[in-house]
Amino acid sequence: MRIDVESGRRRTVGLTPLIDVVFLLLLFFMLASRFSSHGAIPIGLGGHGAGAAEPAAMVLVTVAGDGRYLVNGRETPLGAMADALRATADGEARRVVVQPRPEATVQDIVSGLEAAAAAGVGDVVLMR
Amino acid sequence: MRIEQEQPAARGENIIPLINVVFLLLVFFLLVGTLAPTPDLDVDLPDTSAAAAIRPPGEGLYVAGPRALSYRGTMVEAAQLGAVVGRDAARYETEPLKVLIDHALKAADIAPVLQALAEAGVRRIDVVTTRHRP
Repeated sequence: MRIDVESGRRRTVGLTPLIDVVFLLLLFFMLASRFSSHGAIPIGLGGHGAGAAEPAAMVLVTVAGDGRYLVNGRETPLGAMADALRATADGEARRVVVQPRPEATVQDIVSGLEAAAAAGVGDVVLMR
Repeated sequence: MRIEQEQPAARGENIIPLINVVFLLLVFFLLVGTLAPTPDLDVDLPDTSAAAAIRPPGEGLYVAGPRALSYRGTMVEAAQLGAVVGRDAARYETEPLKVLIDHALKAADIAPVLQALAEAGVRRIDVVTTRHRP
């Protein structure tokens, strides 16, 4: 008599902890996960002496600020920088030296470094 | 007759959801504390699309301004930066130092910071950016 009454009850109540768990797991992942992903731009800080002498040919990219860039002194929009670097390198490995002007922002420098690395003409160094 | 039998059983079962909630809140706060590390300083990272993806950086060097520097959780004076980072120089022989720089800073602001890092023996840095899918 008693057993019948209890087993019927337990089955209905057993859902509540499950819903609790599912709801809290949802809440957990909503709050704990980061939606903005991060990237990294590697920059070498090694001394000027050893690195600068290695390849004879280099391309100078000047970050002029306000989103303006100069490739070997010629003004180049950011979108065309990869093509300009490849044209300058002409199939040979070149060292790309990125030189920021004092008024250039970090965003300008990072965009320039990224575009220079995407051109794939050689290693990219930031001039301090 | 029936009512007396049901009451003790109902009282015992009502406490289980409460225990679940409390226990999961505990787990929740334990995990959230480590999964999303709070940044040392409020830094608006530069945007990139092609940069190599990395995990959310926990500790590193935060540069919010020429005088607002935080290294591994503690604020550092600009003049002391080289000495403080220099204590971990052996570590940065092999792994790059993660540097989180505000995107609006000027090259002239960060040049002394990079100079101090190079003098402290840091060979490579990773400039951390916010990555957008192209």
